[in-house]
Amino acid sequence: MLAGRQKISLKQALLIYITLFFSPSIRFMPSYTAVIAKQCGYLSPIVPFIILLPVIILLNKVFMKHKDKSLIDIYYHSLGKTAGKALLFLYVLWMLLITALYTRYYSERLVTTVFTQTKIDIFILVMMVTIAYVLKSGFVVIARMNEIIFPLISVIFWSLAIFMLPNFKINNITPISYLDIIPVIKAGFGISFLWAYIIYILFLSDIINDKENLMRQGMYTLTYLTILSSILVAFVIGIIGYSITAKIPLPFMDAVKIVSFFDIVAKIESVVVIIWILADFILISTFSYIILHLLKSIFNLEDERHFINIFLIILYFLAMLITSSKIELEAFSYTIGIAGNFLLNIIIPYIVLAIALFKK
Amino acid sequence: MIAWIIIIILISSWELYNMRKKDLKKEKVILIFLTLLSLFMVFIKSKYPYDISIARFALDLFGLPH
Repeated sequence: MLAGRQKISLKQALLIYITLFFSPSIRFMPSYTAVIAKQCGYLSPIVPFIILLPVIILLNKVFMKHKDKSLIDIYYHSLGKTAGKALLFLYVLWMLLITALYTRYYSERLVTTVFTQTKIDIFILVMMVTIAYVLKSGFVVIARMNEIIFPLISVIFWSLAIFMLPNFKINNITPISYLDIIPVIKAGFGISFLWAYIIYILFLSDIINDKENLMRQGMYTLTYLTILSSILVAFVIGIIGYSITAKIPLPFMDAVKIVSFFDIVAKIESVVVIIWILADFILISTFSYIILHLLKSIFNLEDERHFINIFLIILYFLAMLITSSKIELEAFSYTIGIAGNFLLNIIIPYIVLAIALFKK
Repeated sequence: MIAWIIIIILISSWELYNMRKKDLKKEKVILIFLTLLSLFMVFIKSKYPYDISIARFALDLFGLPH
């Protein structure tokens, strides 16, 4: 039984972390790894595992040392109140930008795959209204919704993986040689920010119970994500080949379109759209909640729920103003997006957590 | 544009009314700032519907190709 009704368990938080991972990884990972690591792209998820493992160990040690502190308090403790608040404000701005980016991707994807005749702002508006309604009820509701959404997404994903098996060509993911080591590491660095979203989730650590199990449960989650993403990339490259994967915008969708399971199951790409929308809903609502939670801490506010509606209106306009074409959107996320995420989600947490560990 | 301005003012007024009941002073200031920001965004989006791109601005700023 959880101590407080407004708190979630570590398991619920980590399940949200896995769900957050789905949408950007399906969109971004196969094509990015295929461009850099070519036929060995499926090996690159091992690199983020190695990069993030010390972060989990550090987080666990810091939480054991500062048992009563949240991650936000640890940032204040490490850097001092003023510098800590300035850094967290930078996180707010960055998260606002990437949430707008993900919102735009969500609607772009729907417009380019299923609803080609529909205006893009309709989907953003529908998503914003749904999120406004859910956020009013607090994060516990999102966590409980995710307990239903996560198994659904997982079942669909693993079923698709099974259906893809007959079309899988081993020649597409071989040969592997020592010459592939550097490209695999390069691609691994590029995708590692997706694993580092655990930092964002742990900004809510004051509403997360049983953080003492972070080491064990965090390791399981990291391992699961590594296996999942390796299989995702392996299947996409294994079915359509690395050269096509690198060139097309939604390679996972095209790989699924090829799926025909003994001529019984066909045209199942619409199922992918369902898991994408569900994962996007969890991603955008969670990031929105974290932004409001950070603002509450930075400005010492009593109640952040009054800002939900106006914040989502700002997010709507940001998503509309973030780009005027999909090419720019992709250029932005492949360059500045990766660099900014790597800096804020991996390098800075390493420094802050190391300071917190040694500071009295 | 007019519809958005009306929606934003209605939402902000409602939230300000709720905040007044709870006597939340800092929250009021931040809400007013966010309201002005959203109104500014409405204006920008209406005036330049296809010209503004934050991504393009950032890419140009860092001299990256797009």
